[in-house]
Amino acid sequence: MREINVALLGSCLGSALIYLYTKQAIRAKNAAIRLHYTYCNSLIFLMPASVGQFVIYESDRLILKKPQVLGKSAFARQLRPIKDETFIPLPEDANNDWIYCWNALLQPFLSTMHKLPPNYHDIFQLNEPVKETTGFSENLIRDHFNYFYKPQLDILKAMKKFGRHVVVLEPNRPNPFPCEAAFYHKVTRIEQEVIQNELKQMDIPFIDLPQEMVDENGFNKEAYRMVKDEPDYAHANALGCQTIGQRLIDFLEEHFYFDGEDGPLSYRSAMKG
Amino acid sequence: MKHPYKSQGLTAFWDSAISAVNSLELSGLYERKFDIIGCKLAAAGSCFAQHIGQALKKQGLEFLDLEPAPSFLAKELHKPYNYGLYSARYGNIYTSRQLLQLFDRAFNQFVPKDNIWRRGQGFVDPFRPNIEPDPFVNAEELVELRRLHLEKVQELMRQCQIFIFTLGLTETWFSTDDGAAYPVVPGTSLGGDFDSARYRFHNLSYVEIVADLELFRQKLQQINPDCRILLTVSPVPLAATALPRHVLVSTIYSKSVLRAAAGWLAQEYDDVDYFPSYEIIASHPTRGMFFMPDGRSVSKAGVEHVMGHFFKAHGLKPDDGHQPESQPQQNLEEYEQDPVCEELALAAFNALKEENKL
Repeated sequence: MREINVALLGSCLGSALIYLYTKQAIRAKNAAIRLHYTYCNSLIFLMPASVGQFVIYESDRLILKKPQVLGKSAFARQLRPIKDETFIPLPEDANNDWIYCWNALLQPFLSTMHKLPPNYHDIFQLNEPVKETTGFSENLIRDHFNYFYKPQLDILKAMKKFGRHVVVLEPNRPNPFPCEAAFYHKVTRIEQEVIQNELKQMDIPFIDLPQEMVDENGFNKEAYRMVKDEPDYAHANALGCQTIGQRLIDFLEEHFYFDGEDGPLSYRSAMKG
Repeated sequence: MKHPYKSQGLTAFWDSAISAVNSLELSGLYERKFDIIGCKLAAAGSCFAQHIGQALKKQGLEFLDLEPAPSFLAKELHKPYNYGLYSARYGNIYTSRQLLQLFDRAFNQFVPKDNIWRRGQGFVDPFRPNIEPDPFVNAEELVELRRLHLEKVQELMRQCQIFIFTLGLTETWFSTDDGAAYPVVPGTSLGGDFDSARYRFHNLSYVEIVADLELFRQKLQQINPDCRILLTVSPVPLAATALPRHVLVSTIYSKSVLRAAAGWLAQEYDDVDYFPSYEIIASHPTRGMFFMPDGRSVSKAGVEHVMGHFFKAHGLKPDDGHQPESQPQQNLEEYEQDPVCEELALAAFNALKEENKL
């Protein structure tokens, strides 16, 4: 049985947890999957302008450069020290059996909204809450996301162009930011719609928490890390990551297969939604 | 007894002011009534007013913008969402009646009955139908965003020290219900459904325009006694006329009426000035050189030329260092080149265009 090489491209602690739980799920199911993990915290706050600084794609490889903002988690560092540059093999220097799982594509509206430095903790120091009535129409928020995600989606497109299979994992929701709940839910809903629509057009599978785990606003309190007795809605906890890991393995087993003993890795399109 | 013409300067005589001078070097066309430097400026009007606002901003003058683009929004999206075009997001205000009613709507003195139009599956604000590229997804959002906008207009009227208004059109469309004036006839690609029982055409007269602007001035003074008004007339011709006559004839009529009304107001009131942007661009000594090949759009060179006269009269050279560092510059070129213009929606009704012959 040939193994599929799965590269998990992570951006935050959630990715580390997903790595661990996915690994467990692989072992438990004895699945023919070899899991690789690259921690790259720079992607947490990928903004259109900063993409060029952190991610460079050349003709034969994608390079994730050492991020300026490093993960503070000792756990993450222990798991995989951050290197100066991480090379993601593309067709010319890799076997054709790689699947790239891009975790945490959804990124906070807040970081762009408030021109924050890319430091997660600063988010909680904002004083001025954003109100539903601040004056942004749904169209404007949608166009903002369309524009904002373009560089990240271009990277995914580049990966596909290089013949790579790409899967996007998203256990998280955008980081919470000081705003009225109605506005937060509106922004979150639009963001989900935009990103899922784009991925659908690119035929890239999107794996998030199962519908039964989320409420009408797309949240499940039990799946997120608690901060001051409130779910932070940004970081999936062990339950959330375990669920994602399990779903990822199930999905890979169901939809990816080798076309003959020496044939290439193929993907049965089964788009979400 | 000395003849009155004896004491007139060279600019009072056509041969010395025009015939003997290169048309790019005409001088003394405008003498300011009041200073603009150090004053909080607000701009509104027909699409040509966008050029004026951008030039004032570029010059680094204190140009008010009470509805700036949200910081997160990419610069490419500012113009389609009408950010940074005027001092608030009211879109183009083509007529004196629209201006007066904007003031009244902002101060809750007028609530038009017909105030939501449909466009496709969405909804548009009839008083700024082009404010966003796509219609609002629901009527509630439209109403809420309009409420916020009108609050900002109210704030603007209270804050500004000089209100610059560019008169654009006399031809306008009203609601037969309550006289609400729209920037564009309903039923274009911008939204609404035309119904001759609900909407009527009207060509504003000199008397009506003067009355509108006098009333606006009076109301403005009540809430902002020191505010002064600077009037200009847009040199941009009509995109289309609703009258059974040639569009050129309608254009000259409209511009003449607007010019006369603005002139009378500036003559009558010390706190009202008139800047001759219309004359500088559209009068025959410049032989139409400031118009683009369509004979309608004003070129960038034209805008720069006009504003050069304006700034010179205020003791400024274009871009002479008043530019504050915080002023975003990179997209001004784009604004200058191609103003947002609802009136252009009328061009789509041209029979030749409908047959793809234009």
